[in-house]
Amino acid sequence: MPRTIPLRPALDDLRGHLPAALEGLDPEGVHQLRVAARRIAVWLELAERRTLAGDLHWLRKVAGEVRDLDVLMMQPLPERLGSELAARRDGARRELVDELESTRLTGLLAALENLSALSARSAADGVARLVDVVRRRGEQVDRERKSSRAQRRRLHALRRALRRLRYAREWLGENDPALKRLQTALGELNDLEQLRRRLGLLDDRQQLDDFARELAARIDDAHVDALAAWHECRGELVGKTAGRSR
Amino acid sequence: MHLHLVRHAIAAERAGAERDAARPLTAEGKRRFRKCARGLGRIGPRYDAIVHSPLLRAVESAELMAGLCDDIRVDDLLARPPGRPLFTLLSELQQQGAERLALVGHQPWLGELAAWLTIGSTEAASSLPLKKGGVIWLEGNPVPGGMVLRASIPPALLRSMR
Repeated sequence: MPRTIPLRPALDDLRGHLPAALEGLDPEGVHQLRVAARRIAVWLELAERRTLAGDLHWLRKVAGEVRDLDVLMMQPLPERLGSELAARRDGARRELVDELESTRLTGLLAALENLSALSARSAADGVARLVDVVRRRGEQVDRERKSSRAQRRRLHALRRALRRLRYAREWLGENDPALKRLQTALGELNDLEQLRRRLGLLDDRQQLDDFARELAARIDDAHVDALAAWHECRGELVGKTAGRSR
Repeated sequence: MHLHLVRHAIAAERAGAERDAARPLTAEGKRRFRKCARGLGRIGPRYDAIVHSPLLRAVESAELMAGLCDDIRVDDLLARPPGRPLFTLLSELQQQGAERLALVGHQPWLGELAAWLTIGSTEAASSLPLKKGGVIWLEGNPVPGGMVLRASIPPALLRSMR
C-alpha cells in the first residue's frame, strides 16, 4: 500500500471531462464529470475534510439533473414523455453550462489543486468507517418488512453507501468485483424508480396507465434482483455479522 | 446583512518550489485560530453561509470555522481584488436569505472590500487594520457605500471570548 494517496488522478479526470460536459454532445461527458466529483468527495471524506465537500455536492447536483434525464431517455418511453423529458434536459443543460463557467467552479478546482496528499493510514480508517455504514444500511434493508416501497427506499440508501465504499477502496488500490456487481443491480432498480417519479409529467392517462403497469412489473423484478444480489454479496462485503440479521 | 470579513490564520512561510497558494497553516496558526473561531461563535448566531478563497491557508481557516455554519463554499472571487462580480455574489446570497455571512480571505483585498462597502471607494483601505485571524464586522446592504462598520476585532480579543 502507498504511504500517501494524492488527489491528482481524480482532479485530472475532473478537469479532463469538463470540455465534453460543457459541449454537451456526448452524455458521457456529464456522467464522467459526476463520477470524478464523487471520487474526490470520497477522498475528502477519507481525509476528514469538511470544506469543499459542499462545493462538490453542488457540482454533482447541477450535473445530476442532466445525467438523470439522459439516463431516463435511454429507456423505451412513450413519445410524449420522451419529448417532455428532452425539453427538461435542455433547460437543465443551460443551467449546468452557467454553473460550469462560474467562479465557484474555478475556485473549487484551484482549492483542490492546493490540497496535500492523504495518508494511507487515514484512508484505511475511513474505509473501515464506510464498511460500518454499509453494514448498518444493509441491516435496515433486511429489517424492513413494512412495504416493498419502504424497502426500496432502504435499498436506495444502501446503494449510496456502497458507492462511497467502492470509491474509497479504489483510492486504496483495491478493486472489488462483488461491490460492482451489487451496485449494478441496485443501479438498475434506481433508474426505474427515477423513471416512475417522472411519470407525473405525462397527462395522457391511457398512455400513462399502460406504461406505468409495465414499469411497475419491471421495478418488482429489479427489486427482487437487487435483494438477491445484496444477500449474495453481503458476507463478502461486510463480514458475517450482517448475515445474522437475516 | 451582517458581514464578517475574516483574514486567514497564520500560514507557513513559502518553502522552496512550493506555490504561494499551497502554503498551509502552521500548527500554532491552527491552534490560535481555533480559539478565534470559538470567539466568533460567541458574538452571534450561526452563519447562513461562509465563502472562502481557494488558497490553502483560507481553506484550512474555513475548515476551523466549519462548526459555525452548514453552508461553506469556495469562490475564486476571494482570491483577487474586489469588484463588481463580488458585489453581485453578495447580493445573490442576500436575496437567497443570507443575513449573516462570513468571507474568509486575504489582505489587502478584504480591507479594500471593507472600504468599498462602507465609503464607496478604496482610498482609505489601508487605514483599517486586519491582523491574521482578525475580523471586520459590517452591517447593512452589501453594495458600495451601503454598509456601516460595526467593529474591527483583533484576533487576541476573539481568542479571549469565552
